[in-house]
Amino acid sequence: MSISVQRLLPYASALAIEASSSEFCSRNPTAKHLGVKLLPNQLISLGGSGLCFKDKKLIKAVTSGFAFPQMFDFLANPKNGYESIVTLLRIQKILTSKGVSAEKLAIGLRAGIATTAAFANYDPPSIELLSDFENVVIQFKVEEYDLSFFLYRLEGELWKVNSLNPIEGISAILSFNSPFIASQAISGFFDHLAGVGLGHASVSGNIPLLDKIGYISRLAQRKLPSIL
Amino acid sequence: MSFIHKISDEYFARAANVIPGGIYGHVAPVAGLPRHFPHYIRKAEGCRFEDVDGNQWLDFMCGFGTILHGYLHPEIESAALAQRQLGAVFNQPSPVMVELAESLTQKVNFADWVVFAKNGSDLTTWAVRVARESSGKPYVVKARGAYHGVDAWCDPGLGGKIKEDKSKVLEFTWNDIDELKKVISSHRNQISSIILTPYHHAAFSPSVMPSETFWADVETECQRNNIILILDDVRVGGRLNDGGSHKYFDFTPDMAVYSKGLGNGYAISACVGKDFLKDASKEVFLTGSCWNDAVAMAAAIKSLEISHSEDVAESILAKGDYFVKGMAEKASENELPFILTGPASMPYPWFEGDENLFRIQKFCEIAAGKGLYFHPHHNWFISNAHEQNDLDEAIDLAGEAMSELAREETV
Repeated sequence: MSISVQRLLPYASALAIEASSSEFCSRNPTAKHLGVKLLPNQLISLGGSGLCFKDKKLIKAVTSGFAFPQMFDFLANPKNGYESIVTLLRIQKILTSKGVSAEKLAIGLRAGIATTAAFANYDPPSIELLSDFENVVIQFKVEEYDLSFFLYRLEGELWKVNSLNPIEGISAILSFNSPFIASQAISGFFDHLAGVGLGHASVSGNIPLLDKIGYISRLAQRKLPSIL
Repeated sequence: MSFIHKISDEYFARAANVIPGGIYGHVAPVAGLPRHFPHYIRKAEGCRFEDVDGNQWLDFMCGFGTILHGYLHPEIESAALAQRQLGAVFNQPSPVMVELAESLTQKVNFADWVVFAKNGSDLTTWAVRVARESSGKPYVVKARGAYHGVDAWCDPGLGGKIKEDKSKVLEFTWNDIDELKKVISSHRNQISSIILTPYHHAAFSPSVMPSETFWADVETECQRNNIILILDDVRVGGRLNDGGSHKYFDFTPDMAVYSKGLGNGYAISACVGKDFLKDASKEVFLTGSCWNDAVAMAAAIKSLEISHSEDVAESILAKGDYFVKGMAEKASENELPFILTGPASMPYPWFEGDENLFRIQKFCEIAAGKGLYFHPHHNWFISNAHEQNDLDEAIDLAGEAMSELAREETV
């Protein structure tokens, strides 16, 4: 699947929401998973029918925390739409809460990595940058909380994010030495060069791969709006 | 066990406030062992240095190659001091520029002229432009993964790029002459130069020596297609043969660029060339604020003299051989697939099967705890200040590090 340049940002935002809902659901099994579907006419649905946004509205929702969805879709399936909105609001509440918690970090980190994956999959310069890397797994760790996510690309597949390593072995590790540092990284306030030099985070393994993924994640963070 | 880096960290924290990333470039902590190597060094002499916390290190990076004869070499320091007492940068060059130019053109067998700058990249880029001026053709060919400097056409970094930067740069795989021929034939009469290092010394991967016929084949292709051959001898120059690495590999480039070992730590680079490129070289503008620095030139003159009188390239190759053999024995004793690739005077460390680099990083971390400055991602350097007792000490400590690594991996 190829994504037009115009739709990359709303689609990446939607994939970040999907990833955060995956993490939220793993901790709240009754919550609604917000799977993404890219639709024609600049529309994106979240969680199946009932909740659908225009691309621009989705960006607004992610930036400001609120935007009106497509009313026709909502009225066509109000129960599903309502459940999706409730999940969205619950995730938003966690992400905008003060302080650092394991749940907030897990949701934020997974969403951030999913954004990186979206750029790695659909942003042409990023695709080119990573063209040499297949069957690679990057582990993102947060010390103290024993939290780990894996960003990986298997042969012939797209970049994906999961809480479990899909293959044996790891190509590179980025480890934040505290939940506070990880939360700074999620919010875009982590100096990736000085932070490593000061021991706030450590890197090991395939440094060229980590270097490129890091660059793409910062690119995505710069381009993508966030409520954080 | 790691050394304490309290003062180093304090400086780094201050630096991070006022210098992007704290320390940048190839010495940025993230590129090495950030919590095991010191960020700042107080002083160095011979093949040893002391970091700002007072930790003592046995060095194998030699200012990442700028130190050929050892830190603070007394004769070179005396020459630099004598010039410094007269001044460093004037309105016009010092006569030492002429002396250095004569020295280099005598030493490098194909050199009819020479120009000077401060950094390797200043002159690799300039040489590419001279080739364009001379030939009127736009393209330059390089080996994939080879490093030639920080300018837009060759910078291996990720930021600040536009597609046009590399639109006239073509690449082939080192040692793959068939691919080189294809690149040339697909851009017939459009290629001005081929720029290559004497052997392939890419970062993060083992060094690759030229195949037996590689340089002869490259020369043939250049002659057949009127392509100017530029040797980027910035890193290797003086470490294989004091007359230039082309002599070691028995070929003749049209231009060659030197820097790292040239001034033994004083910032200077030089590009030498054949007579037929002299006119073109006059047309390509070249200058820099402190490029006439007479202190660096005086240091380079003395450095070249010592290289010749002490046969330094031969000496460090022999020392490197001794070191490489000792390290191989230790690896064998510990049943570790550790090898040192590339020339013995600048070996690149590698564990077979360690493509993701975890093992070499761990080994260098353990070695750092013993005061060995072994970089996990860059070739090491043997200077002429490394004496047998230094090498023996390093081999013994490396053996201990290998034993610890093997034990840790067993656990």
